Amino acid sequence: MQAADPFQFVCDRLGERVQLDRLALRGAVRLALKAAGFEPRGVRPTEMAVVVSRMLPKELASCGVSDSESLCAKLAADVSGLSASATADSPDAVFRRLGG
Amino acid sequence: MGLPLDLFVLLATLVYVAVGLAVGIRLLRLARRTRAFPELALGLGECLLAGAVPPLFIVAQAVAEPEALVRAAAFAGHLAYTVGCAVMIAFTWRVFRPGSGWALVLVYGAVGVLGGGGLVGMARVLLVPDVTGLRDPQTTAFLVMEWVSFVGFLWTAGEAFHLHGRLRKQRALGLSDPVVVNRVLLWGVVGLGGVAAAGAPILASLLGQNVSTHVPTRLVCALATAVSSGAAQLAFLPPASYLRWLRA
Repeated sequence: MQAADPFQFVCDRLGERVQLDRLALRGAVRLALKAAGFEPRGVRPTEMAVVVSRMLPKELASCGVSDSESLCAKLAADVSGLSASATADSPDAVFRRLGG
Repeated sequence: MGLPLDLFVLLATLVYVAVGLAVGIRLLRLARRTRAFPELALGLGECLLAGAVPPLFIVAQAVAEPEALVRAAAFAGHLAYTVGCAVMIAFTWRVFRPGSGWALVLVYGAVGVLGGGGLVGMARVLLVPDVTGLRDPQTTAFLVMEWVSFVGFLWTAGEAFHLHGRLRKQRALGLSDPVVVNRVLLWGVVGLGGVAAAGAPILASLLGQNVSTHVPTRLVCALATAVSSGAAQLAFLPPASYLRWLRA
């Protein structure tokens, strides 16, 4: 298990497997994250895996990437294997704690 | 409208004080366990702004003697309002924008202005010759502090509603807890209550009205504190049935 930035990890892996401009790839991942209510910074590997499997295929398909579903399924499995790095309290984590 | 409004204002204030103290004490006890800043700041802010400021200013305005008590209440009220507003703004910065330069500048600026206004207000409490002069809450120093409070609560509400929008999207994917999503929404409502409670006296002052007797201002402030109390209660001390309903 390695600690890595899930957003960067997904962008790097996609860059290796898809013939698409780097900026377009990152843009597609950003759009998928935004549609799921996340920001690139601070997203956890388990959350990123769900975003990749549920939201990213549509974004990649709209960029003309073929077989985006199976590509994203493999990518989701990879990213869920990352270990979460220690980060500062996210706002939702604080509000979870404030409930007692 | 005098007596019903007086009763409504009194009831809303009593509920605001009781809920603020209950929520504040619970959060301070949580902070003692976790040693974390957000619960400390929010607990302190609730205890001061809701639990201490209204009773202290009521004493300063409604009690005539002994003079030392009136001055002490007015002094403590200004101090509690200053510190309470400052920690609430620090809470918003720490929770929502901890790494943001502009947010840190905003916090420093707000705390600086609050500190200045608070010191002027406290000095006036000690220096004014006649304590009846302390009954006018709308001094320039206090108005400046209300402006800072207004901006602070506006920021709080904006951040909370923005986060709530994101958490709702996450919820659709099963990635966030419905209770937390609702708690963030309720915190936005508390922020809006603060905007109204600080904004109404500012508007009344701009219109040249006496804040203590202006009926629309008193009504808006009482409604705002009542709504804030309800939202804070459901957010931080929710009944079990409410939690079950959210999770259903």
